[in-house]
Amino acid sequence: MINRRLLLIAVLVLTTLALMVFQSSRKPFHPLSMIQRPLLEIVSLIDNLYKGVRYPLESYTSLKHENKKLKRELEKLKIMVQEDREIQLENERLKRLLKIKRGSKAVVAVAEVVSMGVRQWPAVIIINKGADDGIKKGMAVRTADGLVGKVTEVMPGYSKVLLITDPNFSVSVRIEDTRTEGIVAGKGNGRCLLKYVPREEEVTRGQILITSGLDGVFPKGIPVGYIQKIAGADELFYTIEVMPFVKVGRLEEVMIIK
Amino acid sequence: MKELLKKIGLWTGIILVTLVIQTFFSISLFKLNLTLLPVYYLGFKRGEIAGFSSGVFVGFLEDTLSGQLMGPSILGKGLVGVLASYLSDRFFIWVPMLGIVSVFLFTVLDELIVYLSLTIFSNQPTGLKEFAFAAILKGLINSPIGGFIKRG
Repeated sequence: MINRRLLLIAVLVLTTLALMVFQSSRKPFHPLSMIQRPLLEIVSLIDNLYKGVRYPLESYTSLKHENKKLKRELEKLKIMVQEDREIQLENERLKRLLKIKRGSKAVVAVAEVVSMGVRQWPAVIIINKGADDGIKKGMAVRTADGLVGKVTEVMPGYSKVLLITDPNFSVSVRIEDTRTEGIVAGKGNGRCLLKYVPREEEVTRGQILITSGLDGVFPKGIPVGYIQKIAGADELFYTIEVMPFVKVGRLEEVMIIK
Repeated sequence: MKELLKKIGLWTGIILVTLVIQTFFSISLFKLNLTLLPVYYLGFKRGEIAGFSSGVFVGFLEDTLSGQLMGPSILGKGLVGVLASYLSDRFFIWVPMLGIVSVFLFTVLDELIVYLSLTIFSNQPTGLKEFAFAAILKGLINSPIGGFIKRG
């Protein structure tokens, strides 16, 4: 009996270690990735039932529809206001240079968050829009408050979004007022780190970070977070803790932009 | 044979429902580790083969759905399934506290295996302090169930 247990443990440890060593230098493989969709259909169904119970007054179709429409309108307006602010700043700088340039951001879809993923790590959310709605891998995801993450996996009706707080996530940013550039990466605990800001630069608590657009993945001007703490510095760069504007544990609706 | 297939079908259903609940619910940033409970139950009540099989099955589903490295959850849940069978030995005198402590420790062990596997073979998912907090919280949430899963 004991030998059988030890044998099972040995087989398990050796097989999984070999599997992980094999994948560590390659892309992870998922032989049953097609089971994701039916499972997500069930999750989405439960999500809808839950919302139906939670908001009984909103169950009247017309009211729900109108509310949804207004929410989307509000999200768009909030984004427009933020964009205006950024455009204003940009305009001032560009006027000084006697050039005119405007960036544009296109909303691909507005999606609802149906799940926070199956495991603690990676930090992902599942949204109820996918390839059928024009979403592609690598697209940026945001709310009116700021950057949420990027699409890492697309299925026909669903997509997986890697959150800004995951250590595998990084985005090129700049400090809004000083225009200092850096890289924001997730820390895994709901916060982020701002890296590669030279020690010569002036950095203070509360400064706002926005995407710089230099990484070619995220459009410029999306609010990312604010500097919460200057944790330290090495010979060249600061170590800065950033609090994202988006509260990843409370996401309900997000926008996918290109 | 028919009886066995029925049981396998029933437990597959229970595991899938648990997985769906786990996918749906989270406490702020912390996802629960509810799938450990059927694995623990099967390992403890039905022996190492049932514990091992269910652990590997649950781990396989979790690794697939996580979209990351394949293996950490298989190892964690599989080990819990086999180790839980040791508790059914006569060496241990079952009292509710044994069940509570065991489920707590197994939850922490499972989380630790996933954390270490990702740190070694992929990227460190979070700091040690944050990991410890998350693992203990999940262990505390799971542990009361252990008091109700009796031997025999």
